[in-house]
Amino acid sequence: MEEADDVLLMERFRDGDRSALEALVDRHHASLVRYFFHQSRSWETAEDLAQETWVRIIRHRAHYQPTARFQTYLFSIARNLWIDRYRSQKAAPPTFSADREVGGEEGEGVALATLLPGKEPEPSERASVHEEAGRIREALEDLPEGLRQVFELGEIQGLKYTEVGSILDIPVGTVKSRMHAAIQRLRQALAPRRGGKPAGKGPS
Amino acid sequence: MTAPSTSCRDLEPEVVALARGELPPAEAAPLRAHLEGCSSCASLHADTLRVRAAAAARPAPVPGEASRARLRAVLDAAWEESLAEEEAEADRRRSRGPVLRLLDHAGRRYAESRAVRFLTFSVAIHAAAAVALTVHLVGGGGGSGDRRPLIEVSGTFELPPPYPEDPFTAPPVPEGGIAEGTPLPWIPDAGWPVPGSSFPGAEPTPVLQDPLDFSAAQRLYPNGEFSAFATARFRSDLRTRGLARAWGAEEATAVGRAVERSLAFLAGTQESDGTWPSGRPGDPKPQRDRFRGGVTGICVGAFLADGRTALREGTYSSVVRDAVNALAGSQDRRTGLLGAFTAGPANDRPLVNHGPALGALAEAYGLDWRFLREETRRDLAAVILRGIAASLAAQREDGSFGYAPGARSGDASVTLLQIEALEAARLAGFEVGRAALDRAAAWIASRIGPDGRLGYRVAGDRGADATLTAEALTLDRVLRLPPEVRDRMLAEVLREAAAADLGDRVLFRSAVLETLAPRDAAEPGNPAGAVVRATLRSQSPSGAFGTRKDTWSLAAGDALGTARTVRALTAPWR
Ligand SMILES: [Zn+2]
Repeated sequence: MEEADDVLLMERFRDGDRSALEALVDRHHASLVRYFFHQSRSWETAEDLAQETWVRIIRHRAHYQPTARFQTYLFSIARNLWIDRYRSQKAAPPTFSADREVGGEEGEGVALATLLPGKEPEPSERASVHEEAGRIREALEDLPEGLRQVFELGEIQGLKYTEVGSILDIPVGTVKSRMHAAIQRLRQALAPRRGGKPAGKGPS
Repeated sequence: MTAPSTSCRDLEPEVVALARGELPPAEAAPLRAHLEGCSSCASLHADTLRVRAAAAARPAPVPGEASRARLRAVLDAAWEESLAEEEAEADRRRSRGPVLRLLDHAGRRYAESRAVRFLTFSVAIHAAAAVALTVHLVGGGGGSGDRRPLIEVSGTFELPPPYPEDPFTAPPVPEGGIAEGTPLPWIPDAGWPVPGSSFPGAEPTPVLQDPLDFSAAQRLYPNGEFSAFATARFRSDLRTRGLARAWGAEEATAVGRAVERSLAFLAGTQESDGTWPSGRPGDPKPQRDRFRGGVTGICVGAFLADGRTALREGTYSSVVRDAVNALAGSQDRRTGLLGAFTAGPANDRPLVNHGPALGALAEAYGLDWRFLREETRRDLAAVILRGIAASLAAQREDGSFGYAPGARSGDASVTLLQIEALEAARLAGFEVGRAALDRAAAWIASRIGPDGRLGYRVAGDRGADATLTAEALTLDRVLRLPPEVRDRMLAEVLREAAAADLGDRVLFRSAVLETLAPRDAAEPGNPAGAVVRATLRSQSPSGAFGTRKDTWSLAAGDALGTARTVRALTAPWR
C-alpha cells in the first residue's frame, strides 16, 4: 500500500530519518511541479514553489500528525503557498511566453504524455486530445479561482473529492457541485465531435 | 443532443462523479443503466472523460537533472537549518529561561517574595464575562522543578457574550465553520474568508455613528472595548475624513497611496516563516534575528492599522495570519515571553521583542475575535494572557521595565513598549489592571527633565535624540501626564522637528506625526502638513521608508521604518 507507506515515511522523517524525505520527494515532486506549473504557467514559479513546499515540510515536520493521506497534507501546504503567491502577485500577473512555457530551462525534459491512468488513446484520437489540451488550458484560465482549484486538485493523481475538500477546507458536497460546474464550463471548449455534433456550444 | 430533463439536472453532479470514479459500486450501477437510455447524461459522461484527458495532456515540464540538483541543495540547507534550530530550541529548554534567572540571581529577594506569596492573579477576558482564566505565577522555591511552567493558565474559559450594540455587521461564518488543525497554527490557514465576501456590510446603527467621535465612543464603552470593533479602519469614508482633518485635504489622497505601497513592500519582504527580520540585508544572521519578534509585531501592527486583519476579506489576510501564527508560536511556554526567534547571546533583550509581539497579538485578537472558532479563540487568548502575565511579572519594583526580566535598571524605551502592549491588550478586552500602567507611567514621568526631554535611564540623558520623547507623547492618553509637562515635551519635540532634516529620521518623524494626529491640520502653527510631505518624499520607489540616522532599541531596518511610518500615517483613523 503506497499510501500507508507515504504516511510511514513521513513519520520516519518527522522522527529524524532524512532518507525518508528523499523517498517522498522521489514519489511526489513531479506532481507538485506539475500542479504549480498549471497554476502559474511559469516554470520558474513552479520550481520555486515546489521547492518551498518541501522546505515547509522540513520546517514543520515536528508538528506532523498522520491524520490524512500524505498527499492531502502535501497539497494543503502547496495550495496555501499558491494562495500566498497568487495574492502577492495579483498586482503584477505572472507573464509567460509561449515558447518558454514548454521548454523549461537548461533543457528540462517535457512530458507530453498523459499522466491519466487507464487506456492509451487510439492513434487516431491522439491528435484531437492534444488539440483539445490547448483549448482546455485556455478555458481553465477563464475559470473562477474556486472552480479552477477544485478541478486542478482533482487532476492530481488519486485525489478524491473528500481529499480535495479537506485541502480546500470546503464540504464534500461543495467539491462535487464545483467539479460539476467546472466540467460544464470546460466542456464548452471541447472540439466539435466527429459527425458534426457539437458538445455544448463549442467554438464554430 | 436531447435537452436534459429536470431530474437529469439533479443527476449531473453524480454523472461527473461517476466519470471520475468517485461513486461506490452500489450507486454507480443504476447510474450506468440510466446512461444507456439518456443521451444528455451520456454525453456529459463522455465529455467529462474528454475534458480530463485533455487536461492531462496539457504539456508540463518534468524536473530534469539540473532542477533535481537545485532541489537537493535547497533541501540540504533547510535540513541543516532545521537541525540547528532544534538544537537551539533544546538548549533554550535546558537552560534556564529569563524568569528563572530572575529567580536565581539578580532579583533573588524580589523573586522570593513573589514566590512565597505564590502570586496568583486573575485576568478576565472582557469585563462582561465572569472571571475566566486564572494566571498563576508559580516556580521559585528551590529550583528542582526546572521544567515546570512558571506561568500557567487555568480555570474555565467563558466566552464573553456578543456586544449588544455592535454597530457593524460581521461577515457570515462559512458553512462548516473554520477548520482547526493541530494546536499550531492558531488561526487556520485555508479556506476563509470566502473570496467575494466583504466587510463591513451594514449601515451603522444610531448607537455609535462615528468611531472617530471618541467622546461618544467612550461614553458608550467606558472600558474602551469599542476599539475592538467600532474602528474607522473598516470604513473608507471615515478614514478619508480622518486623514483630511489631521494631514490636510491635499495630502490625504497621497497618504492613502503611500500606505498601500508600503503594505505591498512589507508583504513582499515577509519571510517564509511569517516574520520580518531586524537590521538590513547583508547583516549577520544574529543581527537579523535579534529583534525579529519586535519588528514582526510592528509590521503586523501596520497591516492591522489599515484594517487588514487575519480573518477579514482582503489581499493581505494570509500575510497577517502567517505573522500572527509565528508570533503565537514563538511564545516560551515556561516564561510566557513572546517574540524570541534566536537563542543564546543574541536574545539579550527579550522584552524589546516581547512588547510589540504582545501588542500585535492583542490587537489582532481584538479586531478578529468574533470570527475565531472557540478553540482557536481560547488558544490565542491563552497566549495573550500568558504574555500579559509575563509582562507584569517582569515589571520592576520602581514601575519600570528593563531589557530582560530581572534587569538591574529600567529603560524608558522598553517601558514604553510594555505600556503600549498592555494598553493594546486592555483595548482588546483583556482586563489589565490600571495599577501596573500607573506605576509605569509614574516612572516615565520621573524621567522627564526640565527641558521636556525624556531620558532613557535618567532624566536628561541621551540629549541628542528626541525620538523617545515623541514616542512617549504618542502614549499620552495612557501616561496621563500633567498638561504642563506634556506641553513642555511637545515644544521640545517640535523645536527639534523644525531644526532636523526629517528626510533621514524615519522613527523620529513617525513619532512626531503620531503625536500630531489627533490635532486639526488647519490649527495655526500645526506643522503636520510639512511633516507629512517630508515623509511622502522619503518613500523609496519600492514603497519602503528606510532609516539611517535613528537610534532605537529595535535595530534600524527598512521593514521597521516602513511599518512604523504606516502606523503614524494611519493614526488619524486608528
Ligand atoms: Zn439523464
